[in-house]
Amino acid sequence: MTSSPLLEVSGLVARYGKARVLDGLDLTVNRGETVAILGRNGAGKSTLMKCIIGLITEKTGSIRFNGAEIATLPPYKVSRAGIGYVPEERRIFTELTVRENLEVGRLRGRSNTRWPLDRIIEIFPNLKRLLDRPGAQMSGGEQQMVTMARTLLTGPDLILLDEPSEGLAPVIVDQMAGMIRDMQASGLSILISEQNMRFASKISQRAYLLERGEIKFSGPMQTIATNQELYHAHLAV
Amino acid sequence: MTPQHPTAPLLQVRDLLVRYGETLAVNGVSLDVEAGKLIAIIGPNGAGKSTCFNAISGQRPPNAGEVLLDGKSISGLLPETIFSLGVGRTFQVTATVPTMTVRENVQVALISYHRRTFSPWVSARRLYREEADRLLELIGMTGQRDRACGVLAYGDLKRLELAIALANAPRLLLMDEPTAGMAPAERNELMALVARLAADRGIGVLFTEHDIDIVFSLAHRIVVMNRGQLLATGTPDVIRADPRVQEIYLGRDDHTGSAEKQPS
Amino acid sequence: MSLGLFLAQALTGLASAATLFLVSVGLSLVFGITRVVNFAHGAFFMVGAYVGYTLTNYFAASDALSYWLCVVAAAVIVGAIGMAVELLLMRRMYKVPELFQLLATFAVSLLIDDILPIIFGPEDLLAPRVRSLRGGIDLFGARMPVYDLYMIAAAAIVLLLLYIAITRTRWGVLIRAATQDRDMVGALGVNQAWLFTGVFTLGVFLAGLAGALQLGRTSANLGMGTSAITEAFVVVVIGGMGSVTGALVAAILIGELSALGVAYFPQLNLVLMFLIMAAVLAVRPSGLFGKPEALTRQHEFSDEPPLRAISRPLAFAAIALLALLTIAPAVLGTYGLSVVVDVMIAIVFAGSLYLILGPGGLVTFGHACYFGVGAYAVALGIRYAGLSFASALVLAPLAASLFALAFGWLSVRVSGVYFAMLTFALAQIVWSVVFQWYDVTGGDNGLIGLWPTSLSPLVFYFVTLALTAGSIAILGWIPHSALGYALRVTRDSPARAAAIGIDVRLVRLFAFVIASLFAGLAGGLSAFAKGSVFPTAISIGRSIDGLVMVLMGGVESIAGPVVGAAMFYLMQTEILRYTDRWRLVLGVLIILIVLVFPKGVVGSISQRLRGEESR
Repeated sequence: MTSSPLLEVSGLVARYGKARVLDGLDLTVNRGETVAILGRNGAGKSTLMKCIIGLITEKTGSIRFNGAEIATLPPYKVSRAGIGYVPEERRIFTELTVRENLEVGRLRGRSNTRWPLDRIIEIFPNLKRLLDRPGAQMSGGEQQMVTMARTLLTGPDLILLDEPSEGLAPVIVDQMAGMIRDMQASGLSILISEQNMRFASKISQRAYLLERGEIKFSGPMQTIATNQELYHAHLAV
Repeated sequence: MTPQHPTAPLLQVRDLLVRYGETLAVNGVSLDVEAGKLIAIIGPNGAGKSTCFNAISGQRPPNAGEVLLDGKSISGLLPETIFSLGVGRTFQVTATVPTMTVRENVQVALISYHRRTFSPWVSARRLYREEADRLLELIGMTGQRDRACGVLAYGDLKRLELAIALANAPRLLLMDEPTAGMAPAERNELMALVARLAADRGIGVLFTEHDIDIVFSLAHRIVVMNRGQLLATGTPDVIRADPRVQEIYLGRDDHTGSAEKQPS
Repeated sequence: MSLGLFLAQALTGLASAATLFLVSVGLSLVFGITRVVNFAHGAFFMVGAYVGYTLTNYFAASDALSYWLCVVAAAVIVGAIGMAVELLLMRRMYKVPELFQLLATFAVSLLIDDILPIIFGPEDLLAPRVRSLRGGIDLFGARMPVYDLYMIAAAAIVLLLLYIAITRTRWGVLIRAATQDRDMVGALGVNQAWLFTGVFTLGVFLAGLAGALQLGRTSANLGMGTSAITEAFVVVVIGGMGSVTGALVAAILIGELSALGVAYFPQLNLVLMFLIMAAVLAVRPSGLFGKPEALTRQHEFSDEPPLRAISRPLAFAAIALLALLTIAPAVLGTYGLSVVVDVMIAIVFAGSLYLILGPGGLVTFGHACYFGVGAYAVALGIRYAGLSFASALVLAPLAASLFALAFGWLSVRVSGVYFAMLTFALAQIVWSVVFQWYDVTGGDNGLIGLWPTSLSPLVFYFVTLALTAGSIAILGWIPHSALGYALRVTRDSPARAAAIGIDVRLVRLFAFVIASLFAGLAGGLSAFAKGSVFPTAISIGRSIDGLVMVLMGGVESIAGPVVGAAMFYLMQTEILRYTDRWRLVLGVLIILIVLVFPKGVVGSISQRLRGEESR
C-alpha cells in the first residue's frame, strides 16, 4: 500500500472570465475515502469538479492523481486515468436511450472488471426496466442513476459527485445514500460536493468547507456536523 | 386599520409557470415588489430563480401566469420592450461590452433609451456624456471611465452593470446575482448603494443572491424557492425561523429543523 | 401534362434529391459534431467526379459491375483525401474563430479548383458509357432515364446504411452523444479527435460518392463544386444543421421543386428556391429540423481596444494620400490611372465589407452580390433605359440597397455560420439568375460597351476619387456614430443589447443595407471602369477577395480594408504576371493568414505598437 494520497490538489486557482472562482485551493482524497466539499451556492464546488476532470482549462496550480500530474490533460485522458465525473446538471444525452447512455461510458479495449454491467445493475436495480427509455423521459432521480451508472462503466478509481442530491425528493436521496455505500464497499474513492449536510454526513468521512473559492475549514465530517459555529458561519441560512 | 398604500405594488407576479420540455422549472410562483423595496429570491441551485427572473424580464416568456408592471401585463413582451417600460436588469455573468470604455458602455445604453440608435450621422462620443458621467460618479467609477471594459476587475464590471441598468431611469431593477464573484467588502458596498438608490428614487429591486448575509441584512422581504415552487415568503426574521427553509438548505432531519443534530 | 410525364419529372426530382442528400448529409453531420461548416465540401464532390472519371477510364469499365466498383473506389479515395485534410488542417481549426474556419475550408476548395485543371485539363470530361446503365424505361407513356432509378436506389442504400450506423453501432451512439454534448463525451473517456476525423472522413466520402455517381448523368466539370455547395447550403439551411432527417426532407423538397419547377415554371426555378428558403426561415430561423441557436457572443473581436478618435498622423496620412492622388494624373499615363481607379474601387468594396465584418461582427460570404447588382444596374440601365452616366451611377447603390433590404431581412434572422451560408446561397442564386438569363444579361458573355462616349477618362478618375474619399470617410465614420456603437453592442453582447432596448436584428439590417449601398456604388464604378459587366462580378470569388482584403488589413479600423485592398490588388496583379494559378496562391495565402496573422497586417502592427498597454 502506498501512503501518498490518491488525489492531491494544491494551489488551484480558477477564473471565470475575470472572476476568481477558486483561490488557491489545497485538498486531498486518500484511497478508499469519501470526502465531502460543503458550501453554499456559488462557493466554487462545481468549478472544482470541472477543474479536476479537465473541463476547465483556464486554471493554475497542480492536480496529481495516483502520483501523476493531470492538470493539463484533456478530459478524456483524465477519465482514462481513472477519474469519473457525475456533473451537477447530470448531462444525460436526452436523445439517446438509457442503454445508449451507458454505452458511451463503456470502455472498449480496456477491461473493466470492477464494474461490469451486472454489478452496476445490482446497485441500481431500477435501471433494468429503464434500459430502452429515451433519456429525455426520466425523472431527476432516474437521470441521476443513469449518469452514475454511466460513469462507473468507465472503470474509475475515484468518482466526482457534484451535488447528487440536488432537486431530488427526500426518499430518493435516502436511496442514493444506500447506493453510494455500495460503491464505497467496492473500494471506490469519492469526492462529493453537497449543500445538503445531512446527506453528506451520512456517507463521508472527511469534509472541506468551501466559501467564496477558499477552504475555510477541513477536518473529520463529525467535527463539522457537530460544530455549530462553523455550521452557522458557512452553511446555514 | 386604514391601508397605508392604496396603490397596487409596482411589480406583481401571479402564478408564473415556465416549462422546459417535460420539467416545470417555475411552477406557480407569485410575488410582489413595491416601489422603494428590496425583495430577494433565494433557494438552492436549480430552484428556478434565474428562470423566474428571465420570465419577468422577457428573456424567456412564461408558459402561464401573469407579470404586471403598475397593474399592466408585461408577460410575453420582448426584452427590449420591457426595458422601454422602465425595467433595468443586470446579468449574473457580466454582459458588458469589452471593446468599449466604461463611459461608452453607459453612453450606449443612454443612446438606446433616448431612441437615438438609428442615427448614423450623430457622433456617439459626446452623446449623453454628462449623463453617463453622473451615473458613473454615483457608482464611484469616475476615475475609471476612460478605461476599456475588457481590462476592468470583475468587481468593477459588476458595478458598471448597475450603472448601465440605471441608464433608463428604471422604476424596477432586476439583479441576477449582483455580487457573485466580488470580494466581500465590494459586495456590501455595492448592495448598500443599491439599497440607498432604491430608497432615494423609489426603485423597486428584485434580486437573487448567494450571499446570505447580504440577503438577510438588506432585503425587506425574502422569497424562498425550491424545485420551481414557492416555499415561503416573509421578512428576514420570519424566513430565518422557518424550519422548512432550513430543511431545503440542510436536508431533511427526522426530528426537527434544528441544526445541531448529530449525524446518524 | 400527362400522368406519365409528371411521374417521370417527379422521379427525376428524386434522383436530384439523391445527390443533394448525399452531399448535404455529410456537411450536416460534420457540422453537428465539429461545429465547422466545410466550404470545401462541394470541391470534394467535384473531386469525386474526376476521380470516378479517371477510374472508369483506366479500367475501361464497360459493364455495370465494374462501373459501380469504380464509383465506390472513387468515393473511398476522396474519403482518404478528406481524412488527410482533417488530420493536417482541420485539427488546427477547431479552436479558431468561425470566420477563419470558413475561410480555411474555402481555401481548400480554392486549392482543389486550381489543382484539378492542372491534372485533368480544363475541358468537361465524359465518362465511358455503360450500355446497361443508359437508356430509358417506359413509364405511363413517358421515358425515364434508367440511371435516375439507380441513383435513387444508391441514395436509399446509403440512407439505410447510415441509419444502421447511427442508430445501431457504438460509433453512431458516440456521434449522437457528441452532437448533443461534446464535453460530456470527453469526460466519459472518449477521445473526440478520432470521432471528428471519422465523421469528417465519412462526410467527404459521401460527397465523393455523390460526385462519382453524377458521372452517369453529366460530365465532370469545374463548375460542379460551387453549385453543389450552394445547393447543399440551401438544403441544410432549410433542413436544419446537424439533422439527418432535415437533410433528407429538404433534399427531397428542393430536388422535386427543381424538377417540377423546370417543367412548369422554367424561368422561376431559382426564384422558387429562394422563396421556399425565405418561407422556412421566416417561420423557423433554425430550419425545419434544426435546434434554435442560442444568442452567443462572437468571441472573435472581444480583445479589440476601444475606438479612438482618428489620430492626427492618420488624418495627415489620409490628406497627403488624397493630395497625391489629386496630382497623380499629371504623372501617370492612362494605364496608370486605370490601375489607380481599380484599386480605389477595390477599396470601396473592402471598406463596405469592413462595416459588416468589423463593427457588425457578421461573417458574410455573399457581399459580391451587392457589388454585382450595382454593376448590372449600371449596365442594364444604360443598355435598356439609355441612362446617363450620372443617373446610372445613382441607380447602382439604390438597386444594391434594395436587394440588401430583402436579402438582409432574411439573413439577420440568423447569425454565425448560418449567416455566412445564407448570404452565400442568396448571392449564388442571384449569380445563377444573371448567368442563365441570357436574353437580358447576356449570360456568360456579359454586357459590354458601357463606356459613355461623352465621358473623359480624366473626369471619371476624379469622380471615382471623390466618391472613394467620401465613401471611406462615411464608412470610417459610422463606427463612431450612435448607430456604430449600437452595432458593436449587438456584436459583443447580444444579451446586453436586448436588455438596453436595442433591436439586434434591425440594427444589423440597417448596417447591412448601408454597407451594401457602398458595395453597389463600387460595382457601378467598376462597370464604367471596365466598360463591361460579367457574372464574375457576383461570384463567390469576389466575395472571398473582399474578405481576404479586409483580413489582410485587419478589421479594427477603416485603415485595415484600405491598406488590405491596395495590397491585395497589387499582389494579385504581380502574381498574375508570372502564373495564372492565382487561386492556388490565394488558397495558400488564406491558410497562412489564418494560421499566422489572424489579426491582419494593420491589426498585428497596431497590436505590437500598443504593446502591453491593453493587456
